[in-house]
Amino acid sequence: MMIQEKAHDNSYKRFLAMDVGITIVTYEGVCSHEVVVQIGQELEHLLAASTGVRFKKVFGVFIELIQNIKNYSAETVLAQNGTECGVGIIRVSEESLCYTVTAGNCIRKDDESRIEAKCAAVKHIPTAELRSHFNERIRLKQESTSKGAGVGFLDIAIKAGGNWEYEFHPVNDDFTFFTITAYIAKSKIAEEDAKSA
Amino acid sequence: MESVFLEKTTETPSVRMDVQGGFIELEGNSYPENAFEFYQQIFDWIDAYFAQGADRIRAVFRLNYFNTSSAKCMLNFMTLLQKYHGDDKMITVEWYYEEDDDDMLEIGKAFSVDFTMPFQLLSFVD
Repeated sequence: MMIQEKAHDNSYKRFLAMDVGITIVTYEGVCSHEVVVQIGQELEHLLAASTGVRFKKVFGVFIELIQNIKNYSAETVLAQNGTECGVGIIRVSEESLCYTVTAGNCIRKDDESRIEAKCAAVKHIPTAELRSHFNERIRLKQESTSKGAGVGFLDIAIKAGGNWEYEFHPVNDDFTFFTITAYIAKSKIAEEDAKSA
Repeated sequence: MESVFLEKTTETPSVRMDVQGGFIELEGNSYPENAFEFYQQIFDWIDAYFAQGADRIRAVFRLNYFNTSSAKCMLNFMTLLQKYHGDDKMITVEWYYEEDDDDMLEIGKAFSVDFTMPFQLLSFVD
């Protein structure tokens, strides 16, 4: 379903106005599997050489977030590959000590409290305990509404060392704009500093 | 029963399923559009491999990155291998992680604790 609303445009404008450093990639539109792979490849090309093993965290968060848009955005279109895919916006950017991955998409207002509760539950877990929660969760039976393993937020929290946040902004009576931002420190030392700050 | 080789793609690992050598080896990235479908063909091959009387397999994982759906599939993979591990069959797992890749190491560690089959954690430098 396409959402043609002024308030919806404002959500994208607000997203783009967020101060998250120098942009490496911004993509707005349908997140088909082909788009996921193509942008992933570009990101690997742009970042892998300079960031080494930390790159995998940026890449992992990017893939998880863009696949979230593809699978769960309330705004969808029929992609070129013939499948109905989610529409949203995603940005990878760089600051002096970290990379930032931010993703935004519309969700149904009815789903807001469920998603909010899920995010809050993960946010509540101490960073040192995130992995054990992840390991427990993947051992549980999949949730019926989940197309993945139902551990996406936990995975993002782990890769960001607990340094992530989420927001909800109303679009209209039916939709809410949902944004997740993850900060991935450029080094383990920077990650520790971010935790103690 | 035939050996099978799946070529590596950007989002799926190469998979070598070798009947004569008695091993299965995965190498690369894993974030397919449908991870459960991708891994099912491998699980089917393993079932067929043991059904025709094989008594051992060496499973080698050299993965660079995998998404959360693939992580769930990895767990199913280990569960399947463990099912065959017993008195008359020998299963060994080699789990490679790039040095300093704590995400790949930690998930391997969790598997190595959960399952009783021989499980080696091996680091490499890219």
